Amino acid sequence: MRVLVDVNKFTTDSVKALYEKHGAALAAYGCCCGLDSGSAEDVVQQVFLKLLQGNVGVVQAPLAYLYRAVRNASINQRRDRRREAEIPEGEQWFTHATADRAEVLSLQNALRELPEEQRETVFLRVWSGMTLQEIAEATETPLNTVASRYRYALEKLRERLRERSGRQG
Amino acid sequence: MPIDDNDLEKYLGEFQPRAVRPLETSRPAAMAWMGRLAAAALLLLSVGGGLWYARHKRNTPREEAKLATVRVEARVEERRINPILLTKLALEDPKRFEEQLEAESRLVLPNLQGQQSTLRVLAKE
Repeated sequence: MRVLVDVNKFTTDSVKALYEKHGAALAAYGCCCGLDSGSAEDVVQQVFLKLLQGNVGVVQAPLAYLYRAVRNASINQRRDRRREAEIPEGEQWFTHATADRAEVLSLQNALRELPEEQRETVFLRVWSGMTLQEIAEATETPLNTVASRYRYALEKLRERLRERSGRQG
Repeated sequence: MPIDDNDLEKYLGEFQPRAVRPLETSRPAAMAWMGRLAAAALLLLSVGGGLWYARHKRNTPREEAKLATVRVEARVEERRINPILLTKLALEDPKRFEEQLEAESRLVLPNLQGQQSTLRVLAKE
């Protein structure tokens, strides 16, 4: 079942609530798409402001729309800035209560190396809390495909993280 | 390193995306108002400036001289005398003919006596 949402019906409060809940994950997703954290935050702000201004018409599944919008905007911004200085390698866009910096950077790099669709699925599942069924509906993808993407993504992440921890250990 | 998918999922969930600044909802409205205000000010300035220029514009002496010539030509055009009537007047009343010619010449020739006369202006340049 697909839910169509008229974004003109979004109130400032509902958009703010959506931002508070998913803004950080979306910014991290922007970083995964190749932006520095400042630019990723700007991109997320712009996407939400568009939503607030009602400039995006009717969307299917707002969360999936937000991820797609952030990805597209990040790619555009990255392309526009391709001649500028590269992003600093050690920037952290995740935090962890006990893990050290190297472990955080390992995860970030592993996420960056994932194919786009797998990365999107991982973010929607892990950091936006959607079920695989919801992701399938939101992205208009068969459930089996989404489940496969997620499984492959976890395998690759496990492999990369293991490689890195083996190298460090 | 977690081996099971569920453990890995749990492990990934322990990493939290870094907090972001609050959504700045007021900025675009303020920016839009600033933009509108700036556009209105620009429009006002250009209209005001145009009006002021139109009212205070002074012609250069050369332009004034040109205008005087054009005015004279216009007057001559208005008062052009029929040559047949003029010939008849010359034959019948030479004195009136002379007076008529003198009067007409004042209208046709530029004024050479005033401060801004064509001749003076041209002589200065």
